[in-house]
Amino acid sequence: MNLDLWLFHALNDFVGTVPLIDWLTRALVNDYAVPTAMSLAAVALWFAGATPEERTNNQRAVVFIALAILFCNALIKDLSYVYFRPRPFATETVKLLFYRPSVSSFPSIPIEVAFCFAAGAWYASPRLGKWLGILGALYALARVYAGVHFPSDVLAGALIGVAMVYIVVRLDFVFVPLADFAIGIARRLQYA
Amino acid sequence: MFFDLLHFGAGAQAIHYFTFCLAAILGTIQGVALRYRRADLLWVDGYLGYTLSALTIAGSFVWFFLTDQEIFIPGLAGGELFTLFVVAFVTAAPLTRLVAFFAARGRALALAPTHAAREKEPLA
Repeated sequence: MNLDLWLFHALNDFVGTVPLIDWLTRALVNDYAVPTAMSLAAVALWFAGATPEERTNNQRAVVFIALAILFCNALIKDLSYVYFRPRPFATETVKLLFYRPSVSSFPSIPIEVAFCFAAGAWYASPRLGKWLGILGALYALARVYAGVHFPSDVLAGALIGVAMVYIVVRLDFVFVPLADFAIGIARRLQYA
Repeated sequence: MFFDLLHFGAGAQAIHYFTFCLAAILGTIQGVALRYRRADLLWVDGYLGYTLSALTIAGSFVWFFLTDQEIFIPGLAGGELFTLFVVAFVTAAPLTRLVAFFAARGRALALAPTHAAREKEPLA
């Protein structure tokens, strides 16, 4: 048995042992709680800042998060045409705590999105980025525990999310003017 | 294109999610407005404002997860959730500014000296 499968079973076989952990996993693993909480953190970042410079930097981070998510989703959509990995419940004996998603298991899109939020927030506020990173890690753990992803799926999702934010930030000569243009429009419309 | 992918299921869950996002965004903006002294966004000052912010955010989560029975079955897709969140934000930001404007006027009127107090003021 390879490490990925061993880790998957080490977590998923625990389902049903402690009802409180199952309940907490259900609270985390659904499509609404963590993505909405992270989006709210981005809203907070958008309006936060003690000085105009800090506010502009925070708003750039939010635009970078949006761009990174957009690019990641495009990349993963293209990847799914050439590589499709079945979900754990399709190939293994699994204790499932979630519905059966039909898209490719590799890489995990929800985890990629969560780590785009965490890495993007880190760009403006390392403290917020750290908390979102912890939430993202718990989300990843919950996805494996609930039986919808292999550990390598969530690891790849996290790496793609962080790497995409890094690329967007490094290409600042392209994306900072673009972000400033978007922020300028938002300010003119009283949205920032 | 993107909008062709949006179906919003039976509709009820989309309305629930929009309401949840709207309330949570309003609460979040109030928390930030208090933390960074944003008078243009602030509704209620001080501890009452923080309490209102925390209760709105926590209440919206509790309300959504208690009322919506379709959370653990395939429901709204990622693009639909994103669209609803953006629409909620587009609604929440001007609503926040509008309420903040009237709240600031209310506070200014409450702090203004009354007619009787003005009459008692010594003439310069």
